[in-house]
This record gives sequence, structure tokens and C-alpha cells, in this order.
Amino acid sequence: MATSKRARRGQRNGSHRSGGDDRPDDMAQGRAFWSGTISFGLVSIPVELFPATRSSTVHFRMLSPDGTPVRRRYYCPEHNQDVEADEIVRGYEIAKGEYVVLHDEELESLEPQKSRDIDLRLFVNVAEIPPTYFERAYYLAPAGNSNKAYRLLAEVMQQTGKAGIATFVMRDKEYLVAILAENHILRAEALRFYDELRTPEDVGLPPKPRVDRDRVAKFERIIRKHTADKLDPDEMLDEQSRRLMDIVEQKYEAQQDVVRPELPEEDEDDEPSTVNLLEVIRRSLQSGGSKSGGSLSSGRSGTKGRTPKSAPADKAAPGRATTKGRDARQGRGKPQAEHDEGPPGRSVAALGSKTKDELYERARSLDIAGRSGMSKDQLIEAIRRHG
Amino acid sequence: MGARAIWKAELHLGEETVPVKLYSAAQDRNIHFKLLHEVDHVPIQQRRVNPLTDETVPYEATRRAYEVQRDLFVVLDEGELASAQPEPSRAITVTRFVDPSLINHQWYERPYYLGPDGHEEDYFALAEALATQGKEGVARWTMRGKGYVGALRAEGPYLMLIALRSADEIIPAAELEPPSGRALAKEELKLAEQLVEALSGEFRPEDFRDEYRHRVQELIEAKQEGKSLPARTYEPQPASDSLSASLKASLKKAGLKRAG
Repeated sequence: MATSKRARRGQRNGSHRSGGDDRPDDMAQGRAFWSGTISFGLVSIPVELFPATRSSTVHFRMLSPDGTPVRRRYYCPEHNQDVEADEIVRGYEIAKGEYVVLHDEELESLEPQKSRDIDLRLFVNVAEIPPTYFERAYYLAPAGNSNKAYRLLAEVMQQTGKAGIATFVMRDKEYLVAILAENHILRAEALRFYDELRTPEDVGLPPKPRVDRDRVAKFERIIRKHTADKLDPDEMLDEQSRRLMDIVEQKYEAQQDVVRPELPEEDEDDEPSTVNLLEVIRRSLQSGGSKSGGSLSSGRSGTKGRTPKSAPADKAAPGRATTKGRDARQGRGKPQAEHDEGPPGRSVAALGSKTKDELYERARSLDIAGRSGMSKDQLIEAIRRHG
Repeated sequence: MGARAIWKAELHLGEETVPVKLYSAAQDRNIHFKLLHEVDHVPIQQRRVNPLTDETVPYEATRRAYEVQRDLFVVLDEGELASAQPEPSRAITVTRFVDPSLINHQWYERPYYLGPDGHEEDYFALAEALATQGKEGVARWTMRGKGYVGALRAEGPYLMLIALRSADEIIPAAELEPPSGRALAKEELKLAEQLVEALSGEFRPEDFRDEYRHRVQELIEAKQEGKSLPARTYEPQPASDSLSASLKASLKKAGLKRAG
């Protein structure tokens, strides 16, 4: 895979508070963000879960005119004052300005009894799962003091080409997952639920007319002519991010517009430290079940505090995530809380690459209802619909 | 009935072009909440502040900066940000056709239907040709100022475009070393395979429901009527100790009593 200059330069482009589609990848802090047990018949396999994807979009932070990174504060317009996260509740709007208030404890009580259990009761051929269902991937690493059951399941999944299907609840959301193996490593592919996908009828696609055989043959010829036996790795890269990073590098080398803002004393917890997600997953794969042969030694020692320049240059992407000295989540399930301190991302001016922050701002100016609970994609959709 | 197209485009394949409309194939089913101030249930707003002065910073006054090292930023202006943006275009350019197996599941991000935008025959002929050839096209396009790579494929008689993650976003399994340990016992492998076999079936996505989401919906409705839902408790699972005993017992449970 391609090596980029920016890998060496140590781009922190991990999925920190990923600009926000409410998925747990915003927790990609290099530590497992979920741990639980896979049940396979009566066999229990304790596992830790890590994101297998990271955001490639270059994340920009918003600075005040004096160069200080901005912070977000919750604000009550009625009281005309800032509000702490623990003074906030969630409301479901049933009519304009009328809400059903839900407390965290109530939502917790709705979680399934075995919320830490991924119970594999069905196995299917991986090839049978339509690609439209695949949403996001997570690696599973063995936890506990034996990795034998983990290796056994991975081996069988790999040999049979099957995936175990299950649902489980993680952070306020239920996931449908297909647990499969590649390179003897278990991976949970989060799948969309059935009702999250539209059918051609839902979309209103027209019925197929009679199609001339010659016309099909014409396209068959084109397909054959342009068939390749592999992908072009360069084609699969995010050029926009690369161009942005090139500009950043040039300016950094020229020491142009480089600022080191003065930060307030109590700002310690706002200082991100870098974590190499790839390294963390590597170590977890080896450390789980260490009593039966795994070892901690194969990973490089710490992941924190390494200078950007020491990043391995041999890997496809920098794999750095930004993490917080302290978990910024205050109270469960207040998605907006994370943006308080998280560096908002931003690439360019178009909707698709705006930060959630900016989209939210736009949504607010358009007075789009329900915007505070919307994911980035939903904000885009809502703004677009607004015209 | 019928979704609104989110984009009008032209598929470019070699010399041929096929006009299409793009529709989202995924729909959001999440329940969305507003954040309210607990004491008066007034929707919370957010304000952006300079932490040094505690003053509100208007959006227009903010600047974009990339953090090259901790607390060291390179500031980019609007022109620089815009210069990285791809040229706007209506083209979805198919650069090659490949065997679908070359596209790892990890890459799939977001599915779109393509619908015909006139020239229906070409549209359906292309879908049919993709199906008969068993290939997917690798396509590139620019939508709303963002560049995409996707897989063009036949979905029944229709065309579908699945946006793919960029290579930078994927941690490939090949770059990881699998957990190691003593070789697995043949008997255990065989039992595990039998158990998987016994539990194998068809993928029927309609059999799985987002139970949690439905329960949240129920709770909202119950509260609206002033009722409450019965509480549930969490029961932890004991860890299994003997692997082959567990597998055998599981097989029995699964209704198969093959000799180990």
C-alpha cells in the first residue's frame, strides 16, 4: 500500500470524535471501546472490540481569531447561561415544543439482559450477505486468560467461509453483526438492519423494459475490454485529504501561519495525545490469552507520547487517532457532549466535507427541527432538503 | 411513494455514457432526541467560546487549523481549503471492472441506487451486462464537493453504486498478526465445525429487528400516556472452562448427536 509523506509527518487523522455520525468510532481512542463475550453454543469467548476503520478525512480545528482553539459550551437561552452536561436531559419531540423526557437510567433499563453477550445462533455463508448491508468493521481481540476458543472460532469461520450472525447493544444502539475471520483474526462487520435499507420499489425505480440483446452485448464488450485483475491502489486513496495535507506540510516547512496558542491552565484535559490504532490492535491481538502462548512482546512498547516523526512509514496510513487525557463523555448518550472539547473536523467548503459543527450551525440558521440529535449525514440530508 | 433523487449524473464507461439519478439506498431509523435543560426543558443551544476569555466566538470569526503537533497549528485560509476541493462534475467515471471478490467487506460504506434518467434501455442493458459478466465497476465521482470511489454493481435488474472507504481508512487484516498459541486439537476443530454446520442457515435479514430501538419507541409512547415499562435486569454469563465438553453439549443442544 502506498506510503505517504504525511504518514511520516505523523498526521493525526484518526477517528477522534469523527465529526460525528454518532457511531462508536468516535471512541477510537486506541483502547478497546467495548468488551464482552461471544457465545458460540455453550462456548464463551471473551473479546475486546476495536474499530477496523479510521477517518481519512483531514480534521481541522476551529480557532478563535487569537489562535486559541474554540470550546463548545451548552447554553440555555431561557436562563441566558451556560449549562453543564449533567443538567441536560434528552427529549423526544412529540409536538412542536413538547417533549417526552427520557433519563439515562430509563434508557439503560431497556438494554437487553445479556448486553455484554454476542450470541451466535446462526451461521451463514459470508458470500450470501449482500454488500449493501455492510456498514462498518470492528476487529475482535481475545481477552481473558485463554485465546484458544477465539482461535478455534476464527479457524472454523475462515475454513468454512461462514459468519456468525447476532445482535447486541453497545452504547445506546443495537447492532446487527456478522462475525467472520480473515487472516485468522475475528472481525465484527456491523450490518444494517433490514428496515434501514430501501428496496427499488421504495425508491420508485421503473420496471425493466424489454432490452435489446445487442445493447447488452455492447456493454458486455466494454466490460470485458476494461476488466482488470486487480484494483489500482492509488485510485482507492482520498486525494482531497492528500492535497490538504500537502498544503499543511508546505506551510509548516515554511513556518507560515503556524500558531502555538496560549492555552488556559485548566486545559490539560483538552490536550490530545496520539495513539496509533494499528499498534493498539496488534498488541491486543497478541496480549489476549497470553497464558496460552500469546505474548506482549511483539508489539512496540507504548503508544502514547511518541513523536509524530517516529510513526512507521511502511504502512498504508498513519493510523493515528487523537485521544483525550480524560474521557470527555460526560454521562451516557449525550452525543453533543463529545463535541464540547473534541477537535471538530473540517476539510473543505462543500456540505459533505463540512464538520458536524458547521452543519449544525447551518441547520440552526435554517431552524431545522431535531438538529441537535442528528448525525452528520442526517444534517446534510436535512439541509439539502431544506433547499 | 418514491424517493427524491439526490444527484443527477452521467455514467462514463469507455466511449459510452448513461444518464442516471442517484438515490440513497440506506435510510435512517434512529430515534433522535433534543438536548433539554433539565430544569425547564428548554432546548439547549451551543455556543462557541474562546476558553481564554470566555467570550463567544461567532462562526464567521473562526479559522481552520490543522494540529501538526500538540498545540501547534497550521492555519489554512478559505482559498487554500477550496483549492483542495475536486472540480465539480456530473461524471461517474468507471475506470475498470473487477471480480467482486477483490472488494473487501471492510471497504463498503454507503449504498446508493442508480435509476435511469432517460435512455432506460441503456441503463437496463448495462445492469444486465454487469450481471452476466459477474463483474463490478470501480467508479469515481465528485458529489457535493467531495471525491468518492465506489463499486458499481447490478442489483437485480437495477444498478447500484456503493461508496467505498478510501484505502487510508482501512486497517487491513493482512497487516495484523493473528493470536498465536498451541495448535488446536483436531477433535475440537471437528466439533466446532459440526456445531457451525448445525447452526447454519440462510441469511434472512428480516428476521433481525432492532429490539432496542423499538423498546425506546415503546418507552416514549408509554411515557406519553403516563405509563411505565417494567424494568429488566442484567444477567452475566459464566465463562466456559472445558472447550470440548462445551462443544459437545452445544451440539447436543443444537439437536445433533454426531460422534466426536
